[in-house]
Amino acid sequence: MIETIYIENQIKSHFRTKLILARFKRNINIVYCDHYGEIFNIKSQNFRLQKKKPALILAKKVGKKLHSIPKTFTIGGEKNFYFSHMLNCIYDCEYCFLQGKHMSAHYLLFVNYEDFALEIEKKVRENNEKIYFFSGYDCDSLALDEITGFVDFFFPIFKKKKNSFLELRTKSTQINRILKYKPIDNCIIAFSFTPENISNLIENKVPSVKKRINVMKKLACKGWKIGLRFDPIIPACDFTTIYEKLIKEISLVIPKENIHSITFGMMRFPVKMFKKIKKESFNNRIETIPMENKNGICSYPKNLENKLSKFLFKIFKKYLNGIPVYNCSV
Amino acid sequence: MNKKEINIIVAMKSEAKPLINYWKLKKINSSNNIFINKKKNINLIISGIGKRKVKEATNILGKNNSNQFFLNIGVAGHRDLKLGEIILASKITDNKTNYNWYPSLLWETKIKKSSLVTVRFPKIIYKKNTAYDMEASSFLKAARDFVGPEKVQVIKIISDNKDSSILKISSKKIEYWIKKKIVIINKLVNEFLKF
Repeated sequence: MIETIYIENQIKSHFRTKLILARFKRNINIVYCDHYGEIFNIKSQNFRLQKKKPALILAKKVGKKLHSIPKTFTIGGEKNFYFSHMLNCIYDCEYCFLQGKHMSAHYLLFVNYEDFALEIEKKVRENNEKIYFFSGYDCDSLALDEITGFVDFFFPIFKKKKNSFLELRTKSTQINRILKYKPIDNCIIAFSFTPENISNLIENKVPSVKKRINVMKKLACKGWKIGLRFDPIIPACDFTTIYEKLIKEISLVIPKENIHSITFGMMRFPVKMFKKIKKESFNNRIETIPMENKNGICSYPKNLENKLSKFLFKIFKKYLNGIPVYNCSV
Repeated sequence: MNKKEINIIVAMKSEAKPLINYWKLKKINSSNNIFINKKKNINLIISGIGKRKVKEATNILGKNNSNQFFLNIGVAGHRDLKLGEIILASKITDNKTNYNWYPSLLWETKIKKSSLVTVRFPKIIYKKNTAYDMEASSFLKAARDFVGPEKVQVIKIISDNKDSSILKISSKKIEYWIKKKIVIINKLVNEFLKF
């Protein structure tokens, strides 16, 4: 529950700031600041304490808004960019890199969506090939949509740009705003999964696997393209059984023709980030996962990674044959 | 894990007296101005008025312990708020440097939030809709050397406003206002100690 909203002075009269504030029915503490960094970037913040009651920070994004994505993190395109209208997430997954990325757990929302749109349009104009844009790396793009209005702003933009794709990555079940639109072929709604028992254990505040499968089914029935994301893969002791069960379950309810792509990836963090994640961990569970430093990136040992990948390709072939599968390897 | 404790910094004896009585704080032998209750994990220091004194006092109580909490309790002026009203500072600005601090507002409390400006001399004319005091920015600066923004908080009780100038404040009135708000202050202190 958001109780405090920090607002940068430069956007206090921005129409979207007013729109967002109007969405809060109850009394909210509003605090004005000169720059979001005064709250978000200061040293020695306690991520875990803030996670108990994060504030919302409304700010203006300046500088570069689109960022390149490594070549292996693809869903079929050569040109891939991600953008983040928001930093941090309402969920609290124990493996989440956001714990190690930012100093703060507060939700930082950039209200100048129009500037993001200008950069997206420029990128599309400059390229003749298909371009893929990803949202949901630094936040869950759908989880706070009732407040942010992300879908209502960005979906119509991509509807007009048939040569570009938007992937909205989420664990949320808040699909009402999406369902107001007719399916847009170049907008992919990508859902992240771990098997149910893992999710229950380490994906705090995340809707259940069953609920997520149900909303995927609803979207697919309406004709939306679905992305299946298994990232990170968690090497639990009964890995083969639980991942096969999950993939089988999905394959039984989501028509293949509605599945755009499948991606999976191992847990991977830069060394410094992994150190901070371990420090922020409240139960040290993450330390039980075998990780090794491979040229500055902490990930699973190669033999484990190969074993997991091999099994996943086999299972995807068995239940979701014909759907493109991409391994987000580093 | 270090033990949880709360360090309370107040400028004046009249601000401290109701708190010392309520929490049954005992003066420690080595100092005239430090009072503690070991069982409740509360330490209190009377710093004297002004930024330099508050900074020194905060450093005296501060230890190398990430489990400690810092709280400044005192009086402040505000153009519009009623005398005796209590606020929790959401933003503290040093009037001289214009530097801002934002204590995290994570706590369950009904106390009203307000911005607070720390000035060098008492305010007679209140320009903005904000509270004015003479210590908080210095307290924040010193306490933040020990802990993060979640564990440094400032509570002020309004002692003067546009209808009742600072010249009308008396020690008795300060004691009375703080005593009247002690239950709500105690609730908040207990919230802090929960974490």
